[in-house]
Amino acid sequence: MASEKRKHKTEDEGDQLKGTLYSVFGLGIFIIATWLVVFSIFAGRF
Amino acid sequence: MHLHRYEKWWLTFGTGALVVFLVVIGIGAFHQGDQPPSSVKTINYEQVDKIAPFNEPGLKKVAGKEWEYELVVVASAFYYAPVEAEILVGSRVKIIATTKDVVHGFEVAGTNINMMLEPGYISEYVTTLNKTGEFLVLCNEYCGTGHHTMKSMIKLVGDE
Amino acid sequence: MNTQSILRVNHKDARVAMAHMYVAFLALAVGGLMGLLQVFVRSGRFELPANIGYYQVLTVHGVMLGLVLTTFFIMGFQYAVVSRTAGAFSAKQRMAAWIGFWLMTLGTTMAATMILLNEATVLYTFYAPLQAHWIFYLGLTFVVVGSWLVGFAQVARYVQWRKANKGQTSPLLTFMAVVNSVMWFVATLGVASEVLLQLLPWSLGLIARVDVLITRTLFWYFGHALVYFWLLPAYMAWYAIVPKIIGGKIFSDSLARLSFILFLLFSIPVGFHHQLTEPGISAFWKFLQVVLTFMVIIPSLMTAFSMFAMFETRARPGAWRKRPVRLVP
Repeated sequence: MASEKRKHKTEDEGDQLKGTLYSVFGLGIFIIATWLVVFSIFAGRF
Repeated sequence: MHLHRYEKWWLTFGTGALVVFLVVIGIGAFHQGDQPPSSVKTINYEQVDKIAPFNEPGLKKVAGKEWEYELVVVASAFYYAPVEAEILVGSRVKIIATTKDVVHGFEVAGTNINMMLEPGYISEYVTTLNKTGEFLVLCNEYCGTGHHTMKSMIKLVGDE
Repeated sequence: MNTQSILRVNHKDARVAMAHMYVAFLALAVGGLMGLLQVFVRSGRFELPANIGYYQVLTVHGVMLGLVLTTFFIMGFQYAVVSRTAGAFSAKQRMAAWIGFWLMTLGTTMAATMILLNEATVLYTFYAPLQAHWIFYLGLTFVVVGSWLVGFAQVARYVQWRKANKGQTSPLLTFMAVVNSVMWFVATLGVASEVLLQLLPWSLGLIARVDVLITRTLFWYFGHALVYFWLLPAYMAWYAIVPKIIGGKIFSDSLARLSFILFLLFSIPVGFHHQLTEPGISAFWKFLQVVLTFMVIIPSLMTAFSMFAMFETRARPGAWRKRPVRLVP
């Protein structure tokens, strides 16, 4: 699995997926932000 | 299975966020006591009118309990008894509710009070009513042709 | 280039798939129109003829869009992708699918008739003790049993493929369709037992009352997995069809399969999160099922990454030069 060849290939791929990394983390931050807003509404009510 | 290292970062971050969300909710539920209505108490729904406390719906002052008032509510198509309740703001209240016929909802708009009233079961919720104002109580479970007219009002009033 | 050579779905199988599509889109038209009528009625300036009520129209809307459109579309879509990727169905398998289709159509007609007669104004969730006419419940049973037959045909075609191609990886779309069908079998056991053991005998007067909590628990055991049954065909298109259309390739075949298996497993024990405000379930069990519900998010996180990666890999200059866009395969 972790052959030298594949490792090398993975690192090359890394630069090719920068946009993917930013996109998913953008999505993640949106999910966390909406969760925080909803939770603060819940916590502020009786 | 081969995972790209960015995907490992993403799945670790995402799963970590889920764990944090669940821990926060879990602490709220089991340490702070912020639980959904789960009394697990049953009742013969065909005899609701004869069984205490539902034989006398309305607000009652109680002593020696963790709460000062009990608000007993009986729902049936398409109204709540009582139609209106006036409560001193800041009171700790236990709402005790059930239904005589089909499934109804008991949602106090703008608050976390939201219970399903199911025939054969008693729904309970304890809370401190700490804001003045009029709070509309709505049925949020479809219960028949008059469903959208089913409502009542909780008025939270200050000291006079 | 004619349509047949692009689609490469056996023409007899295509007829089965298209029959499902016709009913599905008819249901979409009817259900959508009912949605419009609801707005008109709610506005207070419009009254329906023949004393048809708001909730009657709402029930048609829910049953047509939530149950009929989805089941027919998904079964037709999956039948087509299995035929396209695993090869044409055998005569027996196709016959099972046709019987399933007609049973579903008969069931839909029965349920729709009872709703129009105002004998089943119970919304598409049909919570007891609101009671519908027994023909409504029997109609819905036929829809489910019919869909089982169409699903069985897909599983049978998959098994046949496996026997003929020992040791090889199955076609991705066939695998995904089979996973979704299996999820459907597992999920519908809940609603089938609710209807057959409780609602149907109760509406026929054979039993006096039903336990509302049990009917609702069985309903939501089905009702939440139902949502994934709707979702997975979209994921099939995203994982397997979009790469073909944009001239790219799937990010990872094995990750796609893993995410489908996770959906199958995690979709089972999550129904209680639709019952959080109910009095009869303890807070511990509610919390446990919320935790399990969160698990289902993980395969969706995987899918999000795969989608972005698939698009990005295609859009990088190297890939672009190698595989210029061709909209027709």
